[in-house]
This record gives sequence, C-alpha cells and structure tokens, in this order.
Amino acid sequence: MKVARFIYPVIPLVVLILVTETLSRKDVIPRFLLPAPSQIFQAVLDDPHSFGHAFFETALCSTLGLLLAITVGLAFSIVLSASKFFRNMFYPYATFFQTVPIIAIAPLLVIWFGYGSATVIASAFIVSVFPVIANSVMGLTRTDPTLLALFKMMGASDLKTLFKLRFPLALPQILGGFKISSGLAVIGAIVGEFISGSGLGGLVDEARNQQRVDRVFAAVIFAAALGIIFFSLISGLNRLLLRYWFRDRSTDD
Amino acid sequence: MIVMRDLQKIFGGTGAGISSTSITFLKGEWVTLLGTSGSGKTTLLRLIAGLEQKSGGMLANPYSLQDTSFVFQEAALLPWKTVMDNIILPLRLRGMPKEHAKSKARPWLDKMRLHDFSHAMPHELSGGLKMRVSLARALVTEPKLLLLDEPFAALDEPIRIELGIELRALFKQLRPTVILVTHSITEGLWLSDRVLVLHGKPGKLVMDERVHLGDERPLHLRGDPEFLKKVETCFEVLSQ
Repeated sequence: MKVARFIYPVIPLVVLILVTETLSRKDVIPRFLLPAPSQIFQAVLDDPHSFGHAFFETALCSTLGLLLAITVGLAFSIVLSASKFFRNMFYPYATFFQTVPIIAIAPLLVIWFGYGSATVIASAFIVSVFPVIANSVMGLTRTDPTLLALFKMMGASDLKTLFKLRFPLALPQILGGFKISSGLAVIGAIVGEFISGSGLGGLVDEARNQQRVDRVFAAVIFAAALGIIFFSLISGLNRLLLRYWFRDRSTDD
Repeated sequence: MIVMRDLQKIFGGTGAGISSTSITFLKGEWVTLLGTSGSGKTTLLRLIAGLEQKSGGMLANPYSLQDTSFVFQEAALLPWKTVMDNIILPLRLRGMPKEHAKSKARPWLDKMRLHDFSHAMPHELSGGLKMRVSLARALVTEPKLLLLDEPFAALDEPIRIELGIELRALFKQLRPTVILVTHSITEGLWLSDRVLVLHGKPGKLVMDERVHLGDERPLHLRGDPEFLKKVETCFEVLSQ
C-alpha cells in the first residue's frame, strides 16, 4: 500500500517528539542537554533568516561537491575500467579518498582554498568521490562476457561498446554509488563548514560556543533533512532511469 | 568455404578444447556439431567467430564480421531496450538510421512471430520469445554465416521443435552457412545436412556424416526408421 509507505515511518517520529516533549517539560531530562521539540522549533522561528541562509549555503556546496564527485569520479572510472594496467596502477590511490579522515585534512583545505565555499566544496568532494569510483569501476568492469562477445561479433568499436553496452549495463551500480555519495556529500560539506565557519556546520559550531543546544539541534535537523532530500532525489533518478529493469511484470518461468 | 587444418585450442586448466582437427565447411550447408562435454564444440564455434585465439594449426574463414551472426545459449538481450530496439541493434551499430533499420526489421518481426511484441521489454517475455528476438537480431543483417551455440538448450521441447521448423524454413529460403552446436542428437540430425561428432577431452573429430534427408524436414521425419538408425549410430559414437 502506497499510503502505508509514507505513514509508517512518521509514526515513530511522532512518538519520539511526544516522548521528548513530555520528558523535557517535566524536567526529567535537563533542557540544556535535550531541549523540547517545541523549543527547537521556536529557535528556528526566532531566527529563520540564519537557518534559511545556512541551509541554502550547505545545500549549494553539497550539490556542487557531489556534482564534482560524480563528474570526476565517472571520468576516472572510465579510464580505470579501460585497462587492467590503469586499474592496478591508480586504483589503490582512489582508496585514499575513502581512508583519509576528512576532519584531519579539513584545516589543510582552509590553507589551500581559504575560508570560503571552495573549502566546503572540496571537503564534500573528497568524502563523496570514492563510492562513485568504487561502484562505477565495479559496474563497468563486470559486463556480462556473452554481451561483450555479442558486441564484438556485431563489430562494435570500444567506444560504442562503452556507451551502448558497458555504461547502461553498469547504471544500477553507478546510481548505487551516487546514492551513497549523496549522503556523504552533506557530511563532507558540514565538516568543511565547521572549519571555514559557514553554512549549517558553522551554525552548529557557533551555537555550541554559545551553549544554545536548541539551535544545535535545529541545525542538525536541517542537515539531516538535506541528506534525506539528496537521497530521495537520487533514488527518484534511480527509479526513473531503471524503470524498465524492474522485473515485477516478468512472465519468466 | 571455411577451412581448418590441424586446428588446435587447448585450455590450460581443464584440458578441454580441441586437438588437431581438420574440417571443411561448405558454403550454404547446415552443419551440426555434436559431442561430449569438454570436447570443444563451442570452442570450435568461437574459433570460427574469432572469439577465441587458436593454439596452433590453420583456420581460413572468408566471412567478415559483417557477414556473420552468432546466437548464444542465452538470448543476451539488452534489458533497457524494447524488442524492436534489440533487433535493430546490429544495424544501428553499423550506423544505419533508426527508421531505415526498423523498416528492415519489420519483416523479421513477422517471420519470428514477434509483431505483437515489438514494444515489449525483455523482462516481459517468456524464454521462447526471448530466443525468437535473439534469432531475429541475428537474421536481420541477413548473415552469410550463422553460428548457433546451443540456442535452444534452455527451452522446452515443443518450443525447440517450433523454432527448429521455423529456422529450417528460413535456411531453405536464405541459404546461409549454418553451424549449430547442440547436445541433442535428434535435433542435430533433423535440422542439418551434415553432422560432425567430437569426442574426448580435448576433442577429436570422430564422425563426419552427411544427412541425406532432403530439403524438407517435417516433424514426422524424426520417427522414420532410417532417421532413428542414424540417431543410434551417433549415440554409439558419442558413448564410446
């Protein structure tokens, strides 16, 4: 049932809001540790401009970081998938992006790119590029050998085989990589903003310094919402592009 | 005419393949390759297609890739393309405009009884229909050499027979050189002009027999005493 898909996840959220609101109002949990949901909501209403601006800034930097990760990651994956020689030579370096602790190199990014959007975009890019590379290389190098033989028999060039067979066939894996990266881009952007002092990350840092736990929570909720929006958009793209792949109407024996 | 002299291809790990085989395939004949597992039937087909490199010997194949079509055991359809788009794929890869390719494909949709499915997606088709699409895709280029690697292996017997009849009718009409790999002795003898039997691992040619059954191959031929005698001979060679 379609309605159930939307209603069921809302139930635990409503319960959580009601429980925390009650616990906070009855002072079971001190408000400076866990503010009531109404208090968090009020914090946003008191300063909508700051939250709106920060949300937009983080959304923009995350989007740019993600788009850069998708573009660079895909181009790099196509090169890596073209030959085993390239893969052996460069793939280990791609794992650098997964293993590098972003929080440790964020100050370095500030030195390189300054206290601005460039640092935030670079941080989002570094965190989100590896899933694009890992999934795309996997998809592009595991083409069904029968289909490859078929294309060879049909006289297709390497370039035609890439764009007419390997790429579309790898699309489910490639989009799976985008999905993982979409959430990571928001995380990367917020880490970058912690250091550069802008967007939702900057807002969290500032509110923490002022001991405004309600504002910290509000910013975190905005960040989570941004992650969910990104994830939903990529999932929607996934469904749109792969709608013919679903086998729910199959008449196979 | 495809000529192979002392052609050899042995796979290191398993020892499967073919050892020193000499065969001549004549233009416009339907040859069936029968053999035990690992005797190199598919390897021989892939060597002719250029999908495998020989270890030794000589292979002269005058047919270019443009003249050749290969049908695999699986239908090997592109899941994101409709039946029509799958069929016109070889023409599109050769740079033919889409509308022109479609007009060339339409008669094949009819011949393969696929006209009601031209807009269907592969996942909506049964195994038999998928194989029809695969055959239509192989035939749309009007190949002079048709290589069939157990195309009916995954299908039920009635569908195998139905497709066999249709393919034989098309063969009569177009006269390409056909090389069919199959496990079914009956199917091989029923459809072809000549049967080759490979045996051993790596395989050696142990039987090369002409099938003098005429051009028409009605189904009841499979019950004919002379036909059954040929089946028995092949069976004895294969089970040596």
